[in-house]
Order: sequence, then C-alpha cells, then structure tokens
Amino acid sequence: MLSIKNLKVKVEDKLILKGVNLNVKAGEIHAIMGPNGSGKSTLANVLAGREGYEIIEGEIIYKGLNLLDIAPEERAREGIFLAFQYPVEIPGISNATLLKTALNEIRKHRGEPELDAMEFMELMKEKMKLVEMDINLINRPVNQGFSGGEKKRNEIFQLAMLEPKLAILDETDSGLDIDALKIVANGVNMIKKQIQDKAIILVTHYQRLLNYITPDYVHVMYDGKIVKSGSKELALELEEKGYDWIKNGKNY
Amino acid sequence: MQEIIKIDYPVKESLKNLFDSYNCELNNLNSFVADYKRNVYELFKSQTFPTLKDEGWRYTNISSLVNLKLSFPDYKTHDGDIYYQNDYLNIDSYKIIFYNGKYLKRFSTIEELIKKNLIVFSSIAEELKNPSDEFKKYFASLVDNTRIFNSINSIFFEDGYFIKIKEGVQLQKPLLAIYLYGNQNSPFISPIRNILIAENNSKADIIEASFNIDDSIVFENNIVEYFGYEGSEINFIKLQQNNKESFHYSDLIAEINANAKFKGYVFTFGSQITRNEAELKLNGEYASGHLYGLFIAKGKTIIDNHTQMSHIKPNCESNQLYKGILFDRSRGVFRGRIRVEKNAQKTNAYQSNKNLLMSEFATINSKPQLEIFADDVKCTHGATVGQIDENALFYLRTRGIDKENARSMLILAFANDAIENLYNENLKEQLRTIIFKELSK
Repeated sequence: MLSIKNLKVKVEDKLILKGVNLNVKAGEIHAIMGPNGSGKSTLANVLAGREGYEIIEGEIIYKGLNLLDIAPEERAREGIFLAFQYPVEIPGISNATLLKTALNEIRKHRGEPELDAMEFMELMKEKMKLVEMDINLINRPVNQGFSGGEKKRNEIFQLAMLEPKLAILDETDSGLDIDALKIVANGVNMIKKQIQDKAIILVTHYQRLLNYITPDYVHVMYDGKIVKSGSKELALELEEKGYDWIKNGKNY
Repeated sequence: MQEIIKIDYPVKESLKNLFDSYNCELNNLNSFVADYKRNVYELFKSQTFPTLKDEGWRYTNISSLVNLKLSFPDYKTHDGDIYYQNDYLNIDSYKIIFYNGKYLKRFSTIEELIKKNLIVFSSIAEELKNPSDEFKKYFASLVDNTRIFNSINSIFFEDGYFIKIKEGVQLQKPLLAIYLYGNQNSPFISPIRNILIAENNSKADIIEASFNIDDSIVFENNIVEYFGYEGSEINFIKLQQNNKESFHYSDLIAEINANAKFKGYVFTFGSQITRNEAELKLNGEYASGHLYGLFIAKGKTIIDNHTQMSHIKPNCESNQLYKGILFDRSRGVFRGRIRVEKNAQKTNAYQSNKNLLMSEFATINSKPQLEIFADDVKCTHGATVGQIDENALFYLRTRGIDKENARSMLILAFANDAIENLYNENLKEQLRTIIFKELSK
C-alpha cells in the first residue's frame, strides 16, 4: 500500500529526514517510535502533504501513485488521513460543515452519491457513539474551546467518518488521560476490525498507547532514520531500556 | 498640483452642463423642492471634489471618478422585462423596484401594506411634484450638503421612496428595495433619495440592494434619511454589488430616538470606487445603534467605509463591527468615529475592525477616532489585520477539501460574525451564496 524509499527532507535548510525506508501493507498497523526531534512528525506531515518541506531525495509510492506529486486534498480523497498532533481550531466553521463538505468531496471522488442531510446525521450519530463524543460538539466550531482530550477524540471521530485507507496518527496519545486514551484506542480498533483493506501508522513517543492498540511492526526513528524495526516486543524493550539504548547503540 | 485642484474636473463640468438642462425641468416641480435644488446648486458651484489632501479622503483616490463625464440615463432604452428577470435576490419580501433611478410601480409589491394601512408610501417623484406635509417635515433635515457628494445627490435626485412604518406595526416580511442599473451607453448619474420613518414601537427589516445588470457605468449616489422613534426596532440591510467599472456613494443618516434600536448591516462587494458613509445619531436616552459591515474588494477597486456614532443623549449604547477582505491590489478603508457629547453620560460604545489581506499588494487603512467630551463613558475600539491561517487551510485540505474551497470556507468563517447577527435565515443563506460566488469569481 505504502512504500517509502530513501526519503530525505529538509526544513528551513536543515536536513531532518536522512533516508527513511518504510513499507506498509494493507491490514497492518505500524508504530513509529522515537525521541523528540527524531523526525517522526516530519514524516507524518510529509505523508499528508504539508507545505514547507523540501524533498531532497527519495520517493513515496502509495497505491501506485507518486504521492509527492499530488496535493494534500487529493491524497485525502485517495484515502490518506492525518490525525494531527495539534488539531487546529477553526472559528466560524462547525464540525458538521467541515465533515459534510469533506465527506462529500471524498464520496464524489470515489464515484459515490453525496449524502443528504438525514443520511449524514445518522452516520454522524453512529460514529460519535464510537468515540463517545458529546453530540453537542457537532455544531460547535471545529476544535474551538475543546479540551486537549476532546480535540484528539474529534480527530478520531473524523477518522471514523471519513473511513480512510491509510490513517496516520501523529502523537494522538499525547496529552490524554487514561480514559480518553482507551476511548481513542477503542475507536481505532473498531475501525481496524471493520475494514481489512486498511493500514494504520501510529506515531508515538510513548509505549502506553500500544497497550491498547497492538501493532504488527514497531520502528524506532532516531536522527532522521529508522534505525531499528521489529515486532511489538520492541516497544516493550524500548520502554524498559529507554531511548538512550538506541542512541548509544548508534554510537557504537 | 495646486493649480490642478482649482480647475474643475471633467466630472464637475459635466454636472454643471447637466444642471443647465435640468434647470428648466425644475419648473415642473413644486417650488419647495425646486428652490432647494437651486440653492444647493449655488453651493455646489463653489465646492471642489476631495483629494488625498483632505483628511476624510486621505486613502481614497477618486481620480477615475473626477475624470468621468456624466450624463443622465436614457430612459428610452427601458426594457420592461430585463430587470424582472434579473430579480437575483430570491427573498420573500415586499419589493420596491428602481431601474436606473426610477421607481417602477408595476414591479413593486407593497400595495398590500399600503391598503392595510401598515405603512405610508409614496415615491419621491410624486413628492417632488406634490409634496405632502410630512415629506416637507422630514426632507433634507439630516443631509449635510457641505459635502459635495451629498450636494450632487440633493441637486439631481429625482426619485426614491418615502416610507413610514406606522405605530406598533411589525412587518412580517422584509421590505426590499432593489436598485438596478443597466442598458446605457455612457456613464450616468441618477441619484436616489430616500426617507424612512419608523414610528413608535414599529418593527421591520429593510433591505437595500444595488445591482448592475450589465457593464453600463453608473455613478450611484444613494442617500437615506432615517428617523426611528420611541421603541422602534429596525434592521437596515444594505447589499451592494455594482460592476467593477461603476462608482458607488451612499450616505445613511439615522436619527435614533429614546429606547429605539437600529441595526445597520452593510455588505459591500465593491464597484470601482465605493464610499459608504453612515452616521447614527443616538438622540434619546437608551437608544442603541449598531453597524455591522462586511466588505470584499478585488482587483484594483477601493472600498471606503466612513462611520460616525454620535452619542448625543445619556445611557445609549453603540456597537460597530466591520470586517474587510481584500484581494489583489484592492484597498480598503475603515474610518470609524465615536463622538460622545458632554451630556451623553453612561455611554457604552464599542468598535472593532478586522481585516483579512489575501494578497501582499492589498492595502487596508483602519482609523478609529474617538471624540469624547463626557467623563462617564465606556468606549473600546480595536483593529486587526491578518492573513488566512495556513494551518487551518492545510487542516481542511487533509480532509479532502480542495484549496480554493477551503480558502473560501475560511474566508466565509472570517466573515461569519457579520452575517450571523441577521435572524432572517433565508437572507443569511442567500448572502453566503453571494459571498461564495464573489469569492470564486
């Protein structure tokens, strides 16, 4: 589904990604872990198409498409979804308006008919239950005045609504208390169960989210590269030994 | 430079020529108005058009207007159905239709209100021939002819409406005055003069919409004198969509008496040069005046908003919120003055101007002015200039919404609080559609 080859990316003249390789197949969950500043979020943002990143070398092939050639909105319509580390507050646009516009754009792209107001409402209610989101939030401006937990939950709610093929969760677990974390994890697991032709990339600093979502692969990023890959046990090992273990290992 | 100022601009020459022919027609009018017009013309002769050296016009270069030669519209080219088909505002309302400055009774739908004795209505053309006592009482009592754009209106206006909403009447549907312009070969002038009176405890929405049906060039000049009496509540909504070759001047002068509420909404989508003036005089205790403005300028156009809140009596409140969205090489101006007279204690006045610059070549000049002579007042004002939030734009795009659409959504979101205050859902929806269309042009 996704193949990243030797990706090198500069931000403001500083080389951040120094040759990332990653292969993700449908049905897989990959966790990308690593200390702060290792390039995890840069990778997530490059996948979603954020501007301000200079691609020096390498390629990203997603479902046969050269991802770096297409705009963020086209990527989204092709099934890529980024759950933001810092979800953006948008005064003046309601959650409902955002989702209705987004969903219909994506459906149009897939050649499906647009949803009418009733169908949309039903779908929203169903998905809100999934993430235990307060129905009143739906007519509130996007993320405005939401608590940290509500914002992250809203990301997962959007994920559930838009049903992407490749979901990238950028530090979705950070800033969540344990209950919110469980809800987010449940949401992700439900989605995973429902559709088998999907893949999920979890970008996280901590191991704790992986107590609730079991990854098929764990990758450790350090200094702009994936320096170690393994099964879910790698996450536990990291938790035990800390990132210094990786850093030191690199220095040997 | 100084020499140039002393020479009459082509526009003034052309207006003088127009008056020479118009002077004879004045004989057909009642002497009450004819004398008024002749007196203002004497004043006009010594007036000059403002330049960038005039404080009130510092940011608004009107050279393209003053170099214009104006004529009267040719009414022979009237086509009865063109404007009817261009009935672009689909709002359930009582319509008052003007075409090239003339009231068209056959397309207007206010008969019912007149028959039921809910309003008093006459066209200004009728009043000019045979002025009623009431017309005489109100006419020209608020207009300031020391300003040249007002004196041009006073000299040349031939039509408009005189409306009085009767005591205690609450209109269920808005009154909608539509000013259509078109079918002319040369730049023309046909000023409109309106008088609007809200009697005690009356309630109504009035919508005024200007629209060019083609690329004829009009210098639209529209003055409203408004009188709101005790307990009246009026929403006055102005919607302006001239073509980008035309010119638009408007002045709204409102006298708001005790316990009366007036909310003005000014939606401006620009002409070549647009100047919207508004003065609300809070003339009785516990009166309240609001002005909400939204202006969107594109190309090389200029939109200049000039407001004054005059707090004359104590315990009044006023609120101004103007939002500007400026594209390309356009210029926006907001000059908002709050004047609190010595007697106007316990005044509560609020003013805010927020702007979105969509291009590095667009300009906004925002100038609040406070003149406060009372000592127990609450006054706040603020102005901001910003750009589209790139983070929000990216966020929307990652949800599958294309860049242009996402931009429009964010602009609309920025504009939203100027629209949100309207309670007429139908009108809100139409406005959003109009704004969306304007943005995607």
